[in-house]
Amino acid sequence: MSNDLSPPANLPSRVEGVLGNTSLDRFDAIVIGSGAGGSIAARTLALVGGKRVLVLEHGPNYFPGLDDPNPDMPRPLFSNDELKHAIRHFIEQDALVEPRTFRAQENEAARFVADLNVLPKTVGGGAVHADMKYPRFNSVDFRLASELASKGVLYEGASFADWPLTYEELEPFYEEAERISGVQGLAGADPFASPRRSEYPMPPGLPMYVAEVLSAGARARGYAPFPYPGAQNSRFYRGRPPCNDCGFCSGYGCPNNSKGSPAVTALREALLSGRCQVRYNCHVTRLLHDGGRRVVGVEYVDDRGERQRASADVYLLAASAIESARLCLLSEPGGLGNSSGLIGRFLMFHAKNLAVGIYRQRLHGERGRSITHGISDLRGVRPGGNEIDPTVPLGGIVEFGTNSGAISGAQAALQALDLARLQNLRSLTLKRLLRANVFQAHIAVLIQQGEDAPYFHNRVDLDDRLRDVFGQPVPRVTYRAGALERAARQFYGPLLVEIHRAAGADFGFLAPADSPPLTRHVMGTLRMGDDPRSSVCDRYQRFHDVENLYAVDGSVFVTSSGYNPTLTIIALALRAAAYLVAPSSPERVLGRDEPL
Amino acid sequence: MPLLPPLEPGVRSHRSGWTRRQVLRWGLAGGTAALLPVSLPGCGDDGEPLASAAPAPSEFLSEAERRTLASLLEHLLPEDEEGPGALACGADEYIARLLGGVPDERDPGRVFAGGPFSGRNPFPDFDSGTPSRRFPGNDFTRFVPLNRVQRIAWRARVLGSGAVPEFDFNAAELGPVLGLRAQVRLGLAELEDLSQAQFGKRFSELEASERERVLGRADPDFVSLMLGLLLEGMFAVPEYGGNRDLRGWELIGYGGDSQPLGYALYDRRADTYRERPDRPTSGPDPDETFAPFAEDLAALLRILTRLAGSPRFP
Repeated sequence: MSNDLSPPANLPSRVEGVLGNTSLDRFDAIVIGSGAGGSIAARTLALVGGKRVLVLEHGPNYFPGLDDPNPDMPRPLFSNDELKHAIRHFIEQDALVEPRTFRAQENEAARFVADLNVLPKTVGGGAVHADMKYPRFNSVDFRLASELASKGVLYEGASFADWPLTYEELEPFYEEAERISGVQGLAGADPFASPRRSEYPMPPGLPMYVAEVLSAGARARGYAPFPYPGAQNSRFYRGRPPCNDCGFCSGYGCPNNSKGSPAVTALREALLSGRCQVRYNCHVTRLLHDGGRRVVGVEYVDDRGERQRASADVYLLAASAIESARLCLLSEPGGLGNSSGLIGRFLMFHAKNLAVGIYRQRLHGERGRSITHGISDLRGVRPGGNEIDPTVPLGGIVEFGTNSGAISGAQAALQALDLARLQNLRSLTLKRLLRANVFQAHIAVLIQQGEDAPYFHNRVDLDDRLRDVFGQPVPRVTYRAGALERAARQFYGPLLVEIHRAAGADFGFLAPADSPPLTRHVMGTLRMGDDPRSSVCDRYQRFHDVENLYAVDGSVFVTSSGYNPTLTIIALALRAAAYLVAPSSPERVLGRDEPL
Repeated sequence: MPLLPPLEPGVRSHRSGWTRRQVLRWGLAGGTAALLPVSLPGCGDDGEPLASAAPAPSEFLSEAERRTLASLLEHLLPEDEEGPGALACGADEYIARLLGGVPDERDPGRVFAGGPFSGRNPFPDFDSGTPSRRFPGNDFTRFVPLNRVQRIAWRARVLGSGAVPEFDFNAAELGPVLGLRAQVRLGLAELEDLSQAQFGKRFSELEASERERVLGRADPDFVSLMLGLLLEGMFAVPEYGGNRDLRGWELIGYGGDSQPLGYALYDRRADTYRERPDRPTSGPDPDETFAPFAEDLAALLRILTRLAGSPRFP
């Protein structure tokens, strides 16, 4: 980093490539990945548990001074810059140096695909891109296999299973995750949400115009729109300012730290404890182990391209479902901790159904928090979220979205120009289509985060041809929609379009299904469960086979539910870390901002 | 995220979709076939010494190439009664800086503009829920240094794989990557060749109809590439060299960057948010007319709806 971007010398992070207590050189735990799961695990272990924690982060640090104890937190390098974030991969991995490959079935050749769940790789992790939509899962999600069986619902080929914990067990950790992250919302507003013991930490902020328009349409269809739970401050909260609805939220890092991103919440608190050190631009290449029973160290490549090693007593994988599974596969032929043969299996995204509405009025998507409202009526559960509705397919929450990007709107206009030429609509010049700005200013998008069932055939493994810049085989994703996702698209697609009609759109249509999925949600690959033959990790997210290795990201999910996954990643990682620091009474970590 | 239904196969015009070659050029998607290795003086692919300082912005293209580029961009998006064209908005300068500003270990190049604020908007005043009179400086003008991996990617993207020794890990499978410099230089040279062959003139000297004929025979991947860059140059934040005086945003009525003010102004005393009356976030603009779409545009949107297999709203 050049001098003018480094924090002043009086800050702790004066050592290049390191945040936090730079004098630490012996560690109790190593966390791989500084995202949603890794950050909360680091906080729980270091701040509450008093452990010495090393976090290894693959990507760069855009939070200079994140470890600055000054209550006015230094501002990050993010900005309202579409080119930088949406086109040039400021926060995401670059496919030129870290490609991934995709195929729909095992018997196809995998092809290079640039945008294959390219979650951000940077300090703060995948969640840096998120607009922090933080709904909880339904209580029925945690025993979905039993529920489907009891209602006689079968989705062919799907391998549903019950989670090894209940919603009631997780609820206190959800509450703590909401407190630390700073979630706004309105308890009781979503009739399908499962019970919660407390109000949200903050009330909802202002609605977006697009949300007002779509809410009217949704109500006319008999649905119940509600303010979307989100970790964006609507008040001053834990040292961070209220969100000003700048318009560049989803896909962008937050310029003023009002978004409760893991870096500025959990990770910062871990760093300020003095017992945490983050080494960034450090790519972990493999776990070193003792015959597969214990991890004894990690090997990583630093920003000079040199190989380094680090060791600790306990290791926590938090590199995202794709990368955590890949790391297991890179660490041992056949996969470290893979006696079940299931590492990489049951890969889930969300089955996204996306309905576009075009409205004559300008909806100014460049103002607001990307999504402020949604509905759960198309989730496929009964009110209260404790039962499925067996008369409809499992679906998902529907976000009321629009488009904040001028360049992306213009790119769509260019596509429309092609169509205009084919149709001989000669009066529609590029200039006129750009000026009309249909696909930015006049567009509303209903985004359903549909349940993606776990299928044995959907997986990540190692590609046999392509390598990354570190010389290692890249992730190969094998994925196709199955019985549930096809049924859900057929059933819910037209219903989504009808919301646009009821909302007064001039036009409405279902966007084409995407393959590979373009979502940023990813789950499964290191499924948790009680039986070592049918799961990789146990109920505390420890590998059945490897006594000091844990997974604390979305990889442990048993099912995908139909809600944004990040809050559940945090709640689970918090719970796993709580059992590590206080095995007999993990609830003691809750509500604590100081050591036990 | 593809929002539009795919066009019927076989009836695509040359600008639709993403072709394999274009995609490989940007490393954006699909396809693993190799491109022909290309070596062009000054493009990087000839093994230009890596340690040399990155050329100053706009120094890569020659004056003649800049002329061809300008003519091409103005042809693709001309100035007319509807508003300024690509040149008035600085799209050519955007492209020149993209090709000129190559990052290396000492120079961040012009890849990622800094943050968080541009200085175009004031800080909010939390005591009143209104804009203050204090403006931040412009952080966007200070480009962010790249880490080692990002440098490898961007040098390969602009200079081509031949100029980046570390970019060899997939050479056997994917072949060389043609850098943006070479793509633009080759494409512009082809335009001049076609102009000379067809009309005996420089591209910049041609009439619009003649330019259209030249473009009809030019490499469609090059035209697609330039259209994509043109749009970036029109609508990216101006610190990358385009969107001059925010004319691109003005053309389409776009708000652009809004930090640190934003659109929801928190009033600490009243413990509530206030909106900006001229630019509300929760409702229509005060001057919104709810005017229907022009008939030709409506016809196009009807066709889109039909292609998607969705019902027509009455």
